[in-house]
Amino acid sequence: MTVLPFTALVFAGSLLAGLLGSLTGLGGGGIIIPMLVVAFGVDLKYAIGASLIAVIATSSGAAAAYVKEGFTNIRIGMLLEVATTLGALLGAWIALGTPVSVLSIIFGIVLFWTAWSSMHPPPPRPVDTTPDPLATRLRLDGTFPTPAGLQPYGVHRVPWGFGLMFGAGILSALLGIGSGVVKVIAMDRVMRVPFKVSTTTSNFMIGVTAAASAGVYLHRGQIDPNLAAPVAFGALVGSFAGARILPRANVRWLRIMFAAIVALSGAQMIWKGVSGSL
Amino acid sequence: MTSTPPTTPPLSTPPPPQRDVPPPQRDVETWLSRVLAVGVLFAAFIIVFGGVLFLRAHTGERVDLGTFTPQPPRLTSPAAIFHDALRLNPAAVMQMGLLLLVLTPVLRVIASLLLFALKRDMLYTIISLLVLGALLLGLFGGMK
Repeated sequence: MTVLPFTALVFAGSLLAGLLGSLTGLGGGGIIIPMLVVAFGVDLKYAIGASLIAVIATSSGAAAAYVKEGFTNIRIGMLLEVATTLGALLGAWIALGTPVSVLSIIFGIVLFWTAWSSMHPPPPRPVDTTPDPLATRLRLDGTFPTPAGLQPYGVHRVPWGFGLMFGAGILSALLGIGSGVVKVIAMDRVMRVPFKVSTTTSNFMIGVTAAASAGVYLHRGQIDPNLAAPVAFGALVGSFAGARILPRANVRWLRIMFAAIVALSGAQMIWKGVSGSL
Repeated sequence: MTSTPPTTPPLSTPPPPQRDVPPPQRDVETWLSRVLAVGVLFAAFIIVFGGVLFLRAHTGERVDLGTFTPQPPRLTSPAAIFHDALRLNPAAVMQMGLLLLVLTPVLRVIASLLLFALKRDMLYTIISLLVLGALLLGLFGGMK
């Protein structure tokens, strides 16, 4: 393919991925890499570099387009970013010695898991307001706005959440994704942070986590501007549009459709890894 | 929470009947989002500008990204990228825009760091410094 059609198609595909990713809350990174590798025949190493930048673009773009006033807990975000950024540096180092076939198989498994968990949302639970000594000492407890006024919440099991976030950082750097699913599970399920606070704080953290490893990949020569520019700009426009449409969109069917695409991409990545056609 | 004096709204605008979020936190979030929006738009503008330069110069060439070969040093070192971007080398201009995009979360961490420092919140100033340190190590520490 020549430069003009390649750039146009990669831009359009990344825009769609960014749009669907932000509308469904599943992020665009997971779908951009299979698209580049399977449909455009791009080497996984270039795809990971470009996707990391797209992850940063969607995180910053969504945060700039749409402030969910009062939901983001900056203290929780900053504390856990110590874990995710250090994990990301370790992950970028692990990636150096990992064969692409292995990366591709891990990627496929993560995609399957993402699709599965998006179809099985945890049942809503009441807000946990009981205090936890460590969380109190770290002043992590917060409030979020509800129609009835400010709702206080307590944060729990900080060390477990911190450990999981370290893992999320490794995964993010290894595969070039935002790993927002792991981040939300760590906050919502383990630390018992209310769901809306977890998702907005996770978005706050995704860009910072990806920036740590994107720097390493830049030095490693894995960021090709001819690929990363249309990918990042497409994802940015898509996520910007998604954040604007989101309050008015009916996302249920979109979610089911997107989960199916994610699962299909997962199968292809596993097949690519197993058959060695990378 | 540290004791931040509540900001009083200007006299010309009457306060709304019920505020969901205390003003200082709300103002901080709005400000952070503006900082980000400006950074992201600026980066996007540079990426598109570089892209147009690149498309004009290389439209008909073939793309082959099927096998990984590391990018040349002029596209991997921030100093070299900046140097070539100022001379309007198309690939360097795009890479410069991408680098700026990567720096937007760093900007966000620096903004939070300053806010914690202004509030004399020592613990979270140190935590923000740790995050900033990890980011700078990845970006400029020469890790490969």
